[in-house]
Amino acid sequence: MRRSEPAIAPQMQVTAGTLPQAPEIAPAPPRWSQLRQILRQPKGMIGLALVLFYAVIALFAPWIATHDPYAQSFIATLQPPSSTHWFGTDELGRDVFSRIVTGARTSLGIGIGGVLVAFVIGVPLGVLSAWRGGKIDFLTMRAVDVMLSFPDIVFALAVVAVLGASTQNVIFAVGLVSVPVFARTARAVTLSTLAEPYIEGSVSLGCSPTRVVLRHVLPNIAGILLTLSSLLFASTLLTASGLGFLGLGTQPPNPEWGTMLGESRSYIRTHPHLATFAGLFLAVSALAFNLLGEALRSVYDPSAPKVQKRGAGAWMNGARGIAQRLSDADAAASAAPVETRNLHVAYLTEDGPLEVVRGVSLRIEAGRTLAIVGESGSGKSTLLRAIATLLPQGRAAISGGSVTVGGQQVERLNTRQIRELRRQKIGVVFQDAASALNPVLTIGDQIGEALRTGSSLSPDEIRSRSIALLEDVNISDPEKRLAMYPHQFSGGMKQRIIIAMALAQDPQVLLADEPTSALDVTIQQQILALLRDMQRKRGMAILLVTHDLGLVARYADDVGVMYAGRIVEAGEVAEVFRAPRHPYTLSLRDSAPSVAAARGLRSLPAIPGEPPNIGKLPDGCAFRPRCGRCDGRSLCAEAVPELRPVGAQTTACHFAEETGA
Amino acid sequence: MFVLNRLAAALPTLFIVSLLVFWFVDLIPGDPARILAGPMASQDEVEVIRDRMGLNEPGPQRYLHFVGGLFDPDIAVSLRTGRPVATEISERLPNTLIIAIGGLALGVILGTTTGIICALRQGTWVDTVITILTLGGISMPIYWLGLLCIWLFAVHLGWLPAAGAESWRHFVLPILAVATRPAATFSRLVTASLLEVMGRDYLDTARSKGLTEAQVILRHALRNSLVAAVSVAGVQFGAMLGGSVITETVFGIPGIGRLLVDAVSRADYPVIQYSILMFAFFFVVINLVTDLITLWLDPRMRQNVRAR
Repeated sequence: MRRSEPAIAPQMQVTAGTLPQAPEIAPAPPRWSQLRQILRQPKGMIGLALVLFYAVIALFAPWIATHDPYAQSFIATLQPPSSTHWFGTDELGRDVFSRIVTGARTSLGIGIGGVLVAFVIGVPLGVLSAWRGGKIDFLTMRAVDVMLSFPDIVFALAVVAVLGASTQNVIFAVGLVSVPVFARTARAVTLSTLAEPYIEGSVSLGCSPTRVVLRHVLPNIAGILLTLSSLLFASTLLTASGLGFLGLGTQPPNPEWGTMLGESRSYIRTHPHLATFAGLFLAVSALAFNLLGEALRSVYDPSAPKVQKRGAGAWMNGARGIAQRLSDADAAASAAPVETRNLHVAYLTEDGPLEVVRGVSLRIEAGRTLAIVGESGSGKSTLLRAIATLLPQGRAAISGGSVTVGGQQVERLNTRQIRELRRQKIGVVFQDAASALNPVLTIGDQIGEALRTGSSLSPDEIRSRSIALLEDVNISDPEKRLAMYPHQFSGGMKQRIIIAMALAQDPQVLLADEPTSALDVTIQQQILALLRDMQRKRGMAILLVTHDLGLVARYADDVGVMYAGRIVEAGEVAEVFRAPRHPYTLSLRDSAPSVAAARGLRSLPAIPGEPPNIGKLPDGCAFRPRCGRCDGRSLCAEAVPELRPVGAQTTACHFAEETGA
Repeated sequence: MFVLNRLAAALPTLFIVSLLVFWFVDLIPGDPARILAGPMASQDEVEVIRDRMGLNEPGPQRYLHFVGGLFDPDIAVSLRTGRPVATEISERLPNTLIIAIGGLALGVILGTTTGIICALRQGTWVDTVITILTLGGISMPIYWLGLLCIWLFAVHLGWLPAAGAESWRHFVLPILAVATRPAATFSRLVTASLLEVMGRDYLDTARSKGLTEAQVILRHALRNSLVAAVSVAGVQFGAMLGGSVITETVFGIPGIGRLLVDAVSRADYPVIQYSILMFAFFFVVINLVTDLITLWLDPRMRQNVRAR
């Protein structure tokens, strides 16, 4: 469902020939774009083509059939396929091909009829119970519960037992079976649609209920119902043919695929071709509607999984190869806990690789904290993930340069070595502690796991160490907490737990990605003070990614300012903040204390101009379009400024010396 | 406490279901007394039998009679064989359960494995093949698949028997056939739920502890799809019990599905009533068990229940 464009036009115009239509809705121009969306998927195209194929067979059966489907011939029984009888003949000498073609009418007719019955009863029931609520809702839902207490086919069987075996009764039976599904879905989507503000609006404006339902609710739920119809068509067809197979559906001599399969059962040993064709037609038609349903779902159901772009793997391998060669070129090992050299990281997008980190070199010494600041989209989090060896697999990769952690060059390590590196040397603290903890495992499980991996500690030792870790991060009652689940802790506590986990194996490097931005101000200070404390005790190097300049000033030793995937200014925090040389740093600093404090903002203050679009950077200096210093000088457009020492720090601006003038 | 509440909620459903089954089967055309008496019996003899079966009593009494049949095997007797329905059912139930449980187990194992492979190998040919197979599995009429299996393994290759329930070998083909659908369903479920959690931070947290990718998937990612998997397993198990109606016909297995089909085609109404009731009973129990397992698995829900 599209909720963004509510009242413009009905959503549903795409139908396949044999699909049941949604109830009447206000006329509107056809939405061909949705048909196109369906056809663009292989599923949708094959599904729709097959559905049309079946529709044609069913509609033109009398003309397609080569023989009279009822004509018996006792001199030609049970013949194998031949040029006269394409699919052979059955036990009464009837032409199987003609019977299958004619049977398409019955089989598909039952499917359509069944879905229609379910739709016509189920949808109004669902909409009504959502709309009126109260007793109607209660009764409907109880009835649905009761109906769902029977297996589908058993329920249909019971209905047929009462009414007698015939095609009409089968339609009614399989239709009735699907009523609960339609009623439930219609109820659920109606409820969510009714909760939309624009609908509440039109109700309060005095629109009649019928009008609201016809005009707003139905168009919105039509897509979902259409999807459901297609999927249910497949299962209805199978259930109905199942009844036919049991001899309780369409009665002989009328041809129906399920009934034909049932008749063929006695001849499976001697004449398997009888079962082959009827079964094939049945299975493929169910497949067709399932395919179409899937395609429809990906168009109409916002929660449907999206198809991932193909070929990601191949590209990634290529990228890794490049990185490998580059790193071989400058393989000098580094003694620092963290070092990157001319690091490039690219994401795979629909239009090919997109570099979001474009040549970053940095180095963090033991016991020091480097803060990376920048707007969102500047590539700072990607940089951190690259160092953490946690780039999303298959979607991003190091495309150039090198990362060295604890003296080991990351690109040269195999999977097992990377695991060792992560375990022993790297600790990671993510932005959102709530999603960084697994909701279904206890805290004890999760901390214990960090201790247990790759070690041979006894359960008792793991327990006592877990308790010690929790004590380290100032969590009271650690023994009791171990058995608790993440949702039982506050945000600040969760972040402490994450830190405890990160510290479990005494890492040399702690990587913290906006560790406090989800927390309120007082907790923020506590967490950072805790990190600094831990750093002093253990001598770790910390990489702190943040957009909060206040935190940088208080807790970091060095700072790197990132813009559009590059570091544009770097140096000791005090120096950089006292006398920024890059116009971007300058505007950050100038707008930070006053504006942010006044508005109570914790995020980076807005600076003039559009944030950079990493896919469409200008030539030369990426900051040029927003720069107040450039003033149209041609050098800025011609050459990318490199980081160079200016004053006490390094700056990537051609005219850095103009600062302070 | 919650368990008791949940049990209490299931009882009214069972009551309504039993009422429905009673009333429903009452509508079946044909006179049960005449069927029991046989075509040669005189009208008077039929009346005597009718009286004995309590068919002349008013509705509520007959319902009580029907419910009584649940506890007293002598009340409910098959019109065709004259044996107690309870005996008929309990003789056949093991066969049905073996196939359903075996099929579910096989389906879950196959489905979970292929689902994981699919999620990890998105966009590769393996993914494509598995996706096509699962769609095929969902679209496959089990009776056709059964016939194909019989033709291939029993007739053509002669490896396994085609029909009957005498030895374990008789159960191989039916279990294979019924496992298709749960396997396909599980495969899709596991793929979808893995893809959903794939980008979550807690997987990276787990990786940063130095876990292997397999540990990350099995311990952390899959754990979250467990809840959905359990409820799907419940639905599939119920569907397979219902599907026994067809499977047992295809493979000629004496189970309750076959019993019901035969009863319907012969208007053996006590057997229809009680076997349908038993299906419904199983369904309600499965739903109950599923709910309880879900509760046990998901700590967040457990707390909600306690808070209530």
